[in-house]
Amino acid sequence: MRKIFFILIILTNLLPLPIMGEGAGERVSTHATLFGIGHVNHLDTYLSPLEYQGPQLTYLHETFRPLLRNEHIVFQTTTQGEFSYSKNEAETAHYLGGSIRYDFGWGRRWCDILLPGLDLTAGGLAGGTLGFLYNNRNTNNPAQARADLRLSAAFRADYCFHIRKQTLALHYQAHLPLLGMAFSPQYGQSYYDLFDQGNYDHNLVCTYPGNALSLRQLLTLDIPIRRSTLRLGYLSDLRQLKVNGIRQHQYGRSFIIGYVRNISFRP
Amino acid sequence: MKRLALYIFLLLITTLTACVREDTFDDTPEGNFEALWRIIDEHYCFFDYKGEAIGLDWNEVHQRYRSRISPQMTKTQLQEVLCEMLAELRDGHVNLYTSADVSRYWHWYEDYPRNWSQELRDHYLGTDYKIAAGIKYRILEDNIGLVVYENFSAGVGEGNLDDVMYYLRSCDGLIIDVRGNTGGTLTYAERLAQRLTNERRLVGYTTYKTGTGHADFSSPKAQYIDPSNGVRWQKRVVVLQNRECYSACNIFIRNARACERVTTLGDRSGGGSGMPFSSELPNGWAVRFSASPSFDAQMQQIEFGIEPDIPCSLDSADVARHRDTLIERARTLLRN
Repeated sequence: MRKIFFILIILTNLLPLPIMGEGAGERVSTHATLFGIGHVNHLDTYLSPLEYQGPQLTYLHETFRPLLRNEHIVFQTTTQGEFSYSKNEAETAHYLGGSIRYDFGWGRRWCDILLPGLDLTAGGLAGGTLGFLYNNRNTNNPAQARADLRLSAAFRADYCFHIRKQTLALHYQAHLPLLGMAFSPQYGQSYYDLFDQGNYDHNLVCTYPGNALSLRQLLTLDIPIRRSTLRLGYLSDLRQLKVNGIRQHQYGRSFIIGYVRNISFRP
Repeated sequence: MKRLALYIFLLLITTLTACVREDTFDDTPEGNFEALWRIIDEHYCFFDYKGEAIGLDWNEVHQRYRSRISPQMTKTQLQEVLCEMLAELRDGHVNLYTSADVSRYWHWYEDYPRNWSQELRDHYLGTDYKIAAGIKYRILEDNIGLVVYENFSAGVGEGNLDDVMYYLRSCDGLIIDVRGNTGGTLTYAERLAQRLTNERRLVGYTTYKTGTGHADFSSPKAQYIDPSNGVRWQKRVVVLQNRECYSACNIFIRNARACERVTTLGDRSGGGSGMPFSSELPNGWAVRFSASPSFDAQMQQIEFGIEPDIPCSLDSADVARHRDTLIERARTLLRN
């Protein structure tokens, strides 16, 4: 862990000069690149009625910037990739899982609200996910594909504070999918029937919190180190789906570390 | 603002209390028994058919076998009871896999004459037969082509089939011997059948479970075979079948029968028309079961096999003379 920390500090010092704080009329675009290691709990009753658990690696890239015309409107993007290796409790079978998701959207930002240094942002995101979950010993149901499109509510809180002349920034964000579409085979439908025989049967389903209640939360702390910014945090990504008689969940929790680039620009 | 905070708080509480989970069973003999019974109860696809055909009552099975489960029983004893319970389904696609053994139900061929022997097959193939991927083939002395496909787990490509059909093109007829073929990959079975037709043919129907109830099925979907774009066989064909023809091989026989120049000869096939899925028990044992049934073109079940057009058995007197009764009968049919 110390080595990773050291490498990240070196890396962040090699990056272009970041600018902390906004000068008069300046706006700041924030780019964060993060890596996470954590734990995942998978359930997919198409593959097994048992829950599988194991380690998960996460890659996360975020951008967050105010619009040129209106600094109270912000644009943000999130790219998140994961790879996991999980086992059943008896350790007789394992899953390999992977997914990549992308979200983008706009929000309204309120600055210095409630207390000095606290900014709140609320808005919406559009995004999608592609992924898979593979079971190493199943026969005609060896894997499950993941694909969805969604519209989410997004909430964000940013709080700057000082400790011994050091400016730190605490960020919290939550994404709550509200409406979307997801792919799912039917309860006992094989992928052979679906793709080889071409039998479509409500395999694209409408999702909403009643059948796909999911919540992604990210809490991070930005620590300036010399001319760079180190970001540490905790990612809780709870995804669920209950359609076509199949129950799925992916509960991921990761500690993340990475660097932040703040690029200032004038409108 | 307070109201907004309250809404967010309520949303978080709702999220945390609305977990999508599955009912779980303990890793005990009772828990594993109940888990297995329920997996089969909710996913197995032949309850209604076998209720009528063989009097299967899964609830009665539960009562009968539950009394044999005790907390003190060993893994071996538990496996024995679970295997016996699964055998009530009379299904070759149902297995319980443990580190020590694989439970199975093979009475669909073990209780019947095999009607083929490797020795006789070797005698007919000789030593100079050709091998194209999973297919062995040669031309017999009376200009009849002999194709042997021993297992559909062994692949065959379109190029292989082109070469086989082209090599045999001058033959007066073709024998496709799939005796002893216990199945494998459906794609290869379909690929071979596509060489036997010049037009799209309805071969059967398939359906799958849409819920946990015994009668929760999708509407049947028609299944067709389309003629191959490669070299197709234009003369008569005899397909040799026996009780070991199971699963994908059973489907091949179903598909071949739908082609106009094909005659089937031998014993009833073994069946196995349910595409198997997998699941597992709390102790990690894997279970396989039929999940998605296929039917013939008349929407009749083929789970217990398909009768041949011409019944024929291996004659012991023929065997003594190194003659395969079925191959000889097929040769006679194709010559006349």
